[in-house]
Amino acid sequence: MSLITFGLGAIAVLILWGITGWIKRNQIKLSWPSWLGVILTALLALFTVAWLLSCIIERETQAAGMGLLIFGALALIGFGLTRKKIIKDTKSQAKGK
Amino acid sequence: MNNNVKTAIKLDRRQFLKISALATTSGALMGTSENRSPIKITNKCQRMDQKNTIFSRQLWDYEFVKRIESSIDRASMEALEKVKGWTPLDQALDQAAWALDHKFASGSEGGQPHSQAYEWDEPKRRKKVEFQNPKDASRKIKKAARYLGANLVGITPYDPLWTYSRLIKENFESEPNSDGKPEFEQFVPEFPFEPKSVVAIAIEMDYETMALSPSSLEGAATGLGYSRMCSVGYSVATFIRALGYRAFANGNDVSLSIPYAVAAGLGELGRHGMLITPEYGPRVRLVKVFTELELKPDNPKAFGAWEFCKNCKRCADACPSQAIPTGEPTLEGKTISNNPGVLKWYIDPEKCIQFWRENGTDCANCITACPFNKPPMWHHQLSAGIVALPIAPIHAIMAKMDKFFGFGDVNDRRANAAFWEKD
Repeated sequence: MSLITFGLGAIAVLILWGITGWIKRNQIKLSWPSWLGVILTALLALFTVAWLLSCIIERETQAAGMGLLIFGALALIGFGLTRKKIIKDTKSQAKGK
Repeated sequence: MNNNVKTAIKLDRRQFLKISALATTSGALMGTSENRSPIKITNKCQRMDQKNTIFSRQLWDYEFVKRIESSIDRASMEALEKVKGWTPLDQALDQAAWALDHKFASGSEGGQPHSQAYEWDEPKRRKKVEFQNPKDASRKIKKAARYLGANLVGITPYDPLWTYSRLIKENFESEPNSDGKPEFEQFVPEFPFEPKSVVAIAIEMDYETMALSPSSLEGAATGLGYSRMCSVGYSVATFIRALGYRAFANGNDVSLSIPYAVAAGLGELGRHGMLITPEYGPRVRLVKVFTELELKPDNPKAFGAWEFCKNCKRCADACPSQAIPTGEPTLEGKTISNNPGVLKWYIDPEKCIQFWRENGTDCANCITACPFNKPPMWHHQLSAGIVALPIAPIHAIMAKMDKFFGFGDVNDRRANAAFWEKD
């Protein structure tokens, strides 16, 4: 269990590192709904990974699969919507410049 | 009426808060002093005669015995030995798990009183160890109980309502009578002391083996639970006696267990008629220690199980003999083995025991299928938090999701076959 917690912590750091790096490189200024989308999607993705690993440890393969399907799908939807919003933000910023 | 309205309007916020606090406190005090259990108990509820319990009926209710014996197909029972989960290897594990119970509490699982570990009158220390107060004594008894192997422990005052009005004991020493029927005696329980407090103890049963229900391997999980019951119960009673106070442990004999466990705050009563604990769900066995030592009782606790059971019927669906009702709670059951007068779901113990006989071992499908039966992992604790919300549609959805995700599967032959392969 402590290994899972460590792994999840590492993934969370990597996600945050990746997002902040990408924002800095592209000089994007995110609106608050975009930030909210990023945070919620990241949390959902982490939840999916944590669920998957916990169910595998428990040897509940069906629960692992169903979790991946449902929570993973929700994370993908969140990712799609957030991406769309960020693109919209960057376009409006470019127009402003 | 108008005066009342005027008075109410005149109350300022501070007065209103004072009155509310007073009303809440007095309400809470009233609730704890009269009926400690959150279960509705009516005057119709009387002390039960142990002779009417489903196990004891096998000593005297020949019609019932004949009925359940007639449903057993000997040929299929012999063929069962080739089925994974019932092989001689599986049965050997079952037998080994029960060994301590059979050696030190022989027959107690079927209700036989006064067996070795559950003896009433064992010697105690002459000089009493004094405690600061009942709260101090409770804290130390609980600490010792956990150290001695209890997974959960709670304390409640002794209530004679839950002790059988008469006990029944098979006389093993005398020969069966001319009809080949067992000899037994009945007597009113007269304890060597007046019990004041009850230490209710829950023993966890193994999650993985319990999930193999109904099979001999699941029987091993149950048997190990019983063996630990007599070991922990006897040890806790010995600890109290070593402090100079009289005490004895009892399992399925002498008294009902669930009312004490509920009153002691170990959990709630479920649709399947068993205790549901927040920690292990119904996957526990119960042993009680009666003592003359005055202890501070715990309060009953509700964590949403009763409400959840109203909307979840997973145990009823998983029951191979349809012994668990799917309707609303009632005040009486269908058989003489149900003690009426308590608002609950009355299972049909005759159907249940008949399936045990046909199955060649016991059955724990209702325990396995219960959504509260989960190992202590974060995602289950999160679900338990959601389940505690008193919102009926959420309960129904959570029960469906639990099934959808594959938790609580029963009759899993592959898992039984894989048992000996896993390290």
